[in-house]
Amino acid sequence: MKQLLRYAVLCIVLLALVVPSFATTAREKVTLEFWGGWTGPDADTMKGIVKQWNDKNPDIQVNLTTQAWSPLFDAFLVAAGANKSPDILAMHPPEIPQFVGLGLLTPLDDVIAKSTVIKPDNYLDTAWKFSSYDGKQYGIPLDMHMHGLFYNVDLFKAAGIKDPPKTGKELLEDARLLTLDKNGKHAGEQGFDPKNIVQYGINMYTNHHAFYEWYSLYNQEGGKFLSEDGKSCAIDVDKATAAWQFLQDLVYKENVAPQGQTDYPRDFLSKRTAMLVDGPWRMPQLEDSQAKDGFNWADAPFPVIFDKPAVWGSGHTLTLPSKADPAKQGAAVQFLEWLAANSTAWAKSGNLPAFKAVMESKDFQSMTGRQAFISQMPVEVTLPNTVKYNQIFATNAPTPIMVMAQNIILKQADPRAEVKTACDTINSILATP
Amino acid sequence: MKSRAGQILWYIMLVIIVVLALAPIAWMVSTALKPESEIATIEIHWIPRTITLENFQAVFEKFPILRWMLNSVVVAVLATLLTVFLDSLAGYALARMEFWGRNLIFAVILSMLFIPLQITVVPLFLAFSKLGLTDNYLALILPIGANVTGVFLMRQFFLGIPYELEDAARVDGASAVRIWWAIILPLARPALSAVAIITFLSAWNSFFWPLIVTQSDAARTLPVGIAQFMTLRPGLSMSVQLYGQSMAGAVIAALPPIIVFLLLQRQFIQGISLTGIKGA
Amino acid sequence: MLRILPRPRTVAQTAAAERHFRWTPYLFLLPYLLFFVTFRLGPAVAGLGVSFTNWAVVGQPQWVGLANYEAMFRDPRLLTALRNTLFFTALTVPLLVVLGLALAIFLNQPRRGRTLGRVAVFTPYVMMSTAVGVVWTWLLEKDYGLINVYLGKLGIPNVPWLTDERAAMYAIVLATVWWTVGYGMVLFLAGLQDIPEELYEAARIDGASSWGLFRYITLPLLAPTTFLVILLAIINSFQVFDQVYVMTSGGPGSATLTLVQYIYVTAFQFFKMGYGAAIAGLLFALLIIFALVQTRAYRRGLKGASA
Repeated sequence: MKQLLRYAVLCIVLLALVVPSFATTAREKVTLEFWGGWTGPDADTMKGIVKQWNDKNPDIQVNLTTQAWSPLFDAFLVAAGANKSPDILAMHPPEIPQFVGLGLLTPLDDVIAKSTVIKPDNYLDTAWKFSSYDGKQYGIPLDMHMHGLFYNVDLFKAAGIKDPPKTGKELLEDARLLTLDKNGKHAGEQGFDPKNIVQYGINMYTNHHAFYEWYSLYNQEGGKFLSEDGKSCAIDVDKATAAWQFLQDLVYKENVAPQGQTDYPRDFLSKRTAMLVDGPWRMPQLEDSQAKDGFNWADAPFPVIFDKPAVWGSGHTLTLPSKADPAKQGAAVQFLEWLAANSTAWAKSGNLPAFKAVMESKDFQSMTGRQAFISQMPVEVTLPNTVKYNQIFATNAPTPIMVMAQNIILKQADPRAEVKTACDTINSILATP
Repeated sequence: MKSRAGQILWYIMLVIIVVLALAPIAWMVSTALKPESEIATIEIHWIPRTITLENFQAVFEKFPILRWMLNSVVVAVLATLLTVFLDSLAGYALARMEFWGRNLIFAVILSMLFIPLQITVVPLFLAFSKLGLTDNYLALILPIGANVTGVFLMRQFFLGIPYELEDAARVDGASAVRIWWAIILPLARPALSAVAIITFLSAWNSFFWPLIVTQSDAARTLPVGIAQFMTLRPGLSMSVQLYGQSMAGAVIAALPPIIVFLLLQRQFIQGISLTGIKGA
Repeated sequence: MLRILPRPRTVAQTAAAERHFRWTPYLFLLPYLLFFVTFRLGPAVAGLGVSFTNWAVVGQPQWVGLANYEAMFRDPRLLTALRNTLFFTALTVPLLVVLGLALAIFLNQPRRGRTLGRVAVFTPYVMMSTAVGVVWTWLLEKDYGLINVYLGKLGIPNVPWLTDERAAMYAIVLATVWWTVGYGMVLFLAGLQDIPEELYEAARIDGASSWGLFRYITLPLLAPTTFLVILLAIINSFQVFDQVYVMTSGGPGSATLTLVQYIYVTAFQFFKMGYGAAIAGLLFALLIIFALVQTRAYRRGLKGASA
């Protein structure tokens, strides 16, 4: 036994000396480091796309690193501190200002001037705009995504509802019809038992997407979040309260949405909720379920609950960090040009490509379920640009928006008080240098 | 004491304890062997209705698991050898030798347990980066040599050895190094196992530092690698929850340490006990 | 007794020691110290030194003196983090100590199957924190998790383990105790095995009850081990991070925001490494105080016992 151990250890030591660990043995001419925070099927899709490039371009190899967004940015920050960044970094458009504030992103105006592919006209207006900050373009949009409304066609039919709801009134009515207790009575009906609900009309987020849903409603009222100069909170308390109240009431007053939900897609797939507010990234999972179990779903634009159409959205954008090796920038741009034009495969991940040629292609337009989202692109609103983005909007820290959202939805806190507190916190964050 | 009732009671209690301790692990393995569609149901099946290896297959296909595992093994083993060597020397000096600043040095060493690694990570990374040593085995192995627990354990153990052995050897004219090598170390085998196991576990399971210091799969270790598909904060994330694959990753990562522990558990427990938490 | 300092020696022994140990101690210590200073002490000092600056990890640090420490007094979230950490420690440490001891006593009995028990209880300890966090999040899922399903069979409604402010911390404690109780158990086992069987036999002959044996023999002789288990449990509980990071991120709201989670968020999310380092400095000071207080109490207790 001891002999065995000794030999094992010897082997491992030899292995360590032999197996290359410093750099891979046959280094191609240029290796680009591409970091993205996609995990799960998204990551697989992007890996496939990168492999396509790598197969065709032996002298520019792209090394894709995927990790969850939060640890990814941790590693990026530390690497940048040591003056070493990846050559291409993906992120969401509202995250750009804070990295620009730290001097970590390269303005792309030169790149755009020299490129034939990466030009504003080749991209959707809204997407292009979202990736700019302070008059300069910092990101090349990859895709857009926003909230939409998924619904269970069979459950709709059973409740006698023909079309998905388009207004707040319709949403409430439909949700009531779709919320059933164990005796088959629906919400609002005489004798409805809110303590024994077996099916809910719609989901209600308890994570950051509760805030995003609110953001849609608040923007539908025409509300502003930050002042023009970005130095103070400009939330209209009445409008903000009305928006939160609507969402809170779905859970606590109307009983059409479950309290304390955490697994929204599963609840939708298991028919616990008849409707699901979610983004286009959900579609691959739904398509899979339809193919395997015949799950009958459809989607529609996010309803217009208040005055005018607006829906929260974001997207993915590709940036060129400033602390990367400038000699590799040319190769990086080459890859990005190719990626833009060849990103139909990326659309399979559910996201909506921002590159016009792909967006308008027949391949993409004929994909099921995408229409509802495409139609909302002009009314997408993103979070405001601010260098203090993480301190206000980060989702894995007790930021004012998270505290506000979770208190209101989980604890049934008074929306007016929570909004005021959030605004105060935001002001103090913006006040410190 | 050995009454029939007492015996039965003891065994019932034992079963409860073993079940409670291993149930989460069993559930983890069970989930890993189920197809995703079976996981998405409310009914509880400990034994999967369809046992499938598709989660493991998917994970092995999509990710360089074996490479990560190799990296983890190399790093953990070399770090353990390094640490055992350094700590047995240092522990002996701190326990047995008189020299200026001995207690102060030990106190400073212990005090490092009070500093979270989130603070030390950045200066450490900057240092490695300046030396051009990021993204390789050295960056992963060397910092582990500075671990504190091993020094503490070895010192505790050496404090408990009777002086007579060394004094006898010294009378025979042996040097300190010779005493250490020929007499002390052989006695210390259980304590060395304890240090080895603790260091191995710590090196194997380490996440934050490897996350920061490795970028390529060539050097990445298992915890960082599998975090890519283990969806941190599952209740808060919007990504598609592939519990089957997540659990498969957890199983893969847990298996080697469990095996190492099972092989060495007797030495481990004995080693801890000999690190001198003795009675009067 | 737990040896904190070496045993006293005779004059002859000391003379012999001095004759040979001149350079040798430092030579023995040097290899480790090299690693220690380079990879542990150096970064720690640098890291804590950052607390006197404003630094965003990129760019140059700016000296601000004690400003970060002053800001701590005006930070309500720091108070929350401190309170949460203390609450977590107050729940976890007694559980680890009592359960660890109980398991050790139970599994020290000379019966077949005790090794299985010991191995089972220790196995969770070898799992990595991400795995533990993901498994427990899955177990504690409100509508589909194993625990709520079984509680449901007992008629208990679904507990919102990770979404309710009050329940969330208990969820973290539960996962933590499951994960780490094995280590305490092993330490207690070692301590128990050192208690000479003769003491128990003599007492039994004198007619002592089981409880008497426990109270007057086991407990006092385990004092050194208990001291160590408590100390380690406090040190680790105060620095809890991994489980919180994976399971709740400090939420819901800031219900499970612990000190190290707050340090992480401040340094890496809010780009305020200086302030984060100041909080780490506070944590460091707190832990040193705890360690000193506990050691002093222990020594005084020993003196009282041998009086």
